[in-house]
Amino acid sequence: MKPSPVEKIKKESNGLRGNIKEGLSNDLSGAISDADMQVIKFHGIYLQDDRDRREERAEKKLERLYSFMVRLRLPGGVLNAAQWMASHHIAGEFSTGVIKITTRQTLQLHGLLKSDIKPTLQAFNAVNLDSIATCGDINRNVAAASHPFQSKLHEEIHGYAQNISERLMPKTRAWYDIWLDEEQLLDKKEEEDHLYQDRYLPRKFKIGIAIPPNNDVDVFTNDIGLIAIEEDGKLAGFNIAIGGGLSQTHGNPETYPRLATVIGFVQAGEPTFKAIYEVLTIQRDYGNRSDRKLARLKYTVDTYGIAWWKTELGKRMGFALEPERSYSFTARRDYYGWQQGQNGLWYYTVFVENGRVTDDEKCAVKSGLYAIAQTGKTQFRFTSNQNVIVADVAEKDKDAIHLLLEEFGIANQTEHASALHLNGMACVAFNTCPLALAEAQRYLPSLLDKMDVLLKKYNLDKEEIIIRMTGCPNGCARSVAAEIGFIGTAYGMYNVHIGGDREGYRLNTKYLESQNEAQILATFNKLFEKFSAEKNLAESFGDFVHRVKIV
Amino acid sequence: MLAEKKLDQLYALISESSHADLVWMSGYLAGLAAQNIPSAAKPITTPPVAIDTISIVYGTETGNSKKAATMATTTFKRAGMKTRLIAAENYKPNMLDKESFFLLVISTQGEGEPPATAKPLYDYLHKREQPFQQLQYGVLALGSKSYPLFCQAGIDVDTQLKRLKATPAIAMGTCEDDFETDAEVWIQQLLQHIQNPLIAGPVTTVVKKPAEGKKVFKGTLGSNILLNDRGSNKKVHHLEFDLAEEIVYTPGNAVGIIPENNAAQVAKILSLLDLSPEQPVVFREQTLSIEEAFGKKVTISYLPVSTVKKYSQWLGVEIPETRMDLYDLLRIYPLQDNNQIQGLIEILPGITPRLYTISSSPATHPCQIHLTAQVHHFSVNGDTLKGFGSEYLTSLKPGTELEMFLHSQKSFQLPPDEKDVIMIAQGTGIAPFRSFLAERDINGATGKNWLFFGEENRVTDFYYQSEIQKFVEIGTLQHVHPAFEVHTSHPSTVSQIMMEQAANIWKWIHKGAYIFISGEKEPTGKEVEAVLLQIIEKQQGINAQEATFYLKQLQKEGRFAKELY
Repeated sequence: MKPSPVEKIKKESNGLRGNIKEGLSNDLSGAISDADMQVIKFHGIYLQDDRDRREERAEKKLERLYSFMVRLRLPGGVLNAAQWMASHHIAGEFSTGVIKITTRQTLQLHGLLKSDIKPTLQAFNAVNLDSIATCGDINRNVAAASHPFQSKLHEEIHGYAQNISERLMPKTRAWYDIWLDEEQLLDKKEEEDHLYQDRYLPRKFKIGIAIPPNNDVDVFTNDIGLIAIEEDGKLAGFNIAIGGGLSQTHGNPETYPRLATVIGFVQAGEPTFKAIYEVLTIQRDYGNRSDRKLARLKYTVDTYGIAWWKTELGKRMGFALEPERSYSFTARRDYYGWQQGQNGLWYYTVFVENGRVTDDEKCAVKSGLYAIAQTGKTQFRFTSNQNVIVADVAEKDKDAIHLLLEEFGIANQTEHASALHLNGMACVAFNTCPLALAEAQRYLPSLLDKMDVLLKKYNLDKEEIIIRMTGCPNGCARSVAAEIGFIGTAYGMYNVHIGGDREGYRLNTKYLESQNEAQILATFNKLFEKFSAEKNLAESFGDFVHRVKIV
Repeated sequence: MLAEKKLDQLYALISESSHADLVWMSGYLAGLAAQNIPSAAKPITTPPVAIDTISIVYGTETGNSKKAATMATTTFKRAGMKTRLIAAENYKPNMLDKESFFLLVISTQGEGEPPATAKPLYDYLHKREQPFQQLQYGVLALGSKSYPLFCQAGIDVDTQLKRLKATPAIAMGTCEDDFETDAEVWIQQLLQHIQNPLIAGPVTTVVKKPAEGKKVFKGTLGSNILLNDRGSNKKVHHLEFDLAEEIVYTPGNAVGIIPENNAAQVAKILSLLDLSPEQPVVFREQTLSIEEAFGKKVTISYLPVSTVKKYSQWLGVEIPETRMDLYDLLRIYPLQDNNQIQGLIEILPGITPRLYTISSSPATHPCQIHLTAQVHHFSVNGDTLKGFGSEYLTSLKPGTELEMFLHSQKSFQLPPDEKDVIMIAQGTGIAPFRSFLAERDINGATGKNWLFFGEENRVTDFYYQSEIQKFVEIGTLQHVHPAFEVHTSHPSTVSQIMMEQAANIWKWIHKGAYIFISGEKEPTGKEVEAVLLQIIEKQQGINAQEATFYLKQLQKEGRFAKELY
């Protein structure tokens, strides 16, 4: 099979350098070459354009309004106050001003012009932040459970996230050399990469770590999901699950979303790191490198089978996986408002609709979080549901912080949002995502308002239904792992999926194709009516439609 | 048609299929059938007339159609054919009646729709009823088999063109995700077909007979586009005039336009004077209404000091030496009675024509004149005033008919095709070079081209950027050096960039390149000339005086020309 063109680009990229430097100084276009577009992803940067402006710019005989998105590497999603303040300023100076919290616990900035990338990354570097390998065919930002009050393993698990991220970083110094003007090494040996070689992975790779009983990281949607196993109050190790991934392609039946399969247990410490490393080497060696649509780990898992994987992995690790240990998830959510951690510190989870930290007429989240950062008495944590936790607040500072949360309307917004909004999530989609077929984050809030009216009508407004929307079938906002999922098919049209469970063990099922808003509302009017009349006590919407075989 | 067994299978499949399935299957089968016509190189029909120029139009969403269209352009150009490449959004559908050969490269979006930029063309073809007289065409459709309606937009356009009696040269081509190979094969088939003289007949270029010696002509404004994007400090308009007949001009020529006064301003003066608009007056031995005289013949705004002075003497009133609008003059220093109107008209300076360099190319934009005009702002006593001519021109509404005359600038002309050209433009100075490039492009000129372009803001002020990029992609333009102050990693001016390129510029000059400068005299024109002198001095190892002489020689030989304003 002929390797896909991206394989050649990676191989010939001279350690992920490509011709990015030359491209940055070429003023003929605000974009970079097609090949460099692939290479620059490995630096955490995507080339995008403002799709709302395409026609107007074309009429003016100008090229598309190209800009870049920069995504940070933040294992487990933690920023200190100084880093938050820096991000606030960088967003204001170089990007659209919105700090976007992603579904994988990091932040990204949109709308950077080509000449803004370098100053942006230099400013992030000044506060010890980088964007290495947050996109591209490589291990990306490592996600980890966000709510410290739920487990005393929390801090230790975050250490794992950090450690895994660092071990799986590419060895090339290209990021430093392109963005910080660091001198290129003469001795290329130091850049020799035993893990990625010069081919990297066949496709993107995601790792998440969950601490039961909360599956807030959506652990089974990752290529590798680690489930922390606590025994006698200590971290014994992890159940390791492989082959999760939600992306699919409309009309291509060979593509499908898949939840990761638990293949065994591995002891904490080095054995865990070894297991992860070798899953990557197997995927590197056996993954599909000719068809990028079939290149994720999930297809490699299904092609070779779980038994083969266990054997091959055991061979490469030099020891066998142990049988999976028992665990149970009971929720997959954020806990809004104040919670006290097992360490005695306080945590306030702020509701940030679709992760967009910005000021609007109702709530000045951006100014508020900045004011809170200025006190220097907190850290900031991001959740996999795109929210921000004002974290690690000492008992004595809690009241002062709360006053600020109130002053900027943040407390009010968080405490009065409907259950549906609080459990909703949407990807970026229009106007910047080149893959989007339909709106997502710009549209979901208004749709949720209309669905809230229906829920009220049937007395269901306290139901915490997990509802998610993506503008295409690639699943950034994990719409197929929701109780209600909307997947864009064309502008204003969505496939309606229902029947996922609340804990994240079961994907939803396609219920209707290409529906417009009126059709969607009519459908849910009927479904909610039935749900309200026939549901069992404490039965979730996803479980209900599944039980009565609507899907 | 089908054997009974096959027919049964087909019916069985149909009976199980949803409407969407059927729509998909029909598109899929059509695509399949189009691909599998035994030897697609075989023409379905014979072209009725010889092909003069191929217009390649692309409608793109992801850029793939543009790439395929660029491939086709390069291929046809290499084969020595006149070819123009146009983005669908810039293509005027009424040109279809004048095309000799029309090649459309189009992708399909979402539910079988054309790309947004190709929507107007797509809609035009679907709405048009009148059949084409003699349009030959080809459609190359791009699509993805992952989507139900494979290449639907291409299929639709092809169907419409056939319905309108246009003649396909070869069957529509379809390309999948990896479009390059499919596109290459189809383009080669099309080329073979077009080149085969047995099919195409001897190529006889129809020489259009131009209206000779006609200097004054009329154009209808087709479109008036502000080229600057939001957030720019500049206001540069691109105006396209449709001409009723072909006018012979060469790239580098200008047109003269006589601007008219603002109608509201005229009305205000008439009301101040309490005059009927029809009141006759004589202007240069011609009787016309006072409204026409004020509207089209004499200057009424920002009168020069000399006119104000004349008025003061004529009226016998003391007026300070200043410039002012006629309205203010008449308001503050009124006429004694309206019998003085004729005298007033004789004092006022007549409106002089304004010259604008043509930015279209006669070969690429037949029966059209394009202009590139900047609204000039200048401040007087704290008030911002707009340039009279440019303000008039840029506020014209599409549909307006305008009289203009041709003005040839003999020294500012393209050299023979094999000569190299260095073009140095600041701002609207790009106008003649757009014409140069389009002309050299369509004529397949072998000489190399190098463009320097300076403006303020890279994102908002890069005039004709997409066309310039296209010229680079298809190899017409060898070097482009833009110089911007804002949104660039290295803010610079044209002359700074030229200094950086000194050695290479000298190499070109030494090999016989022609150099053109166009734009404002101050500061760019002067700076650029100074830089050229420095380059000559340093690279040739001569003194300043000798360098000046060298440049003068070039000018005499027609190898150095300026158009500065």
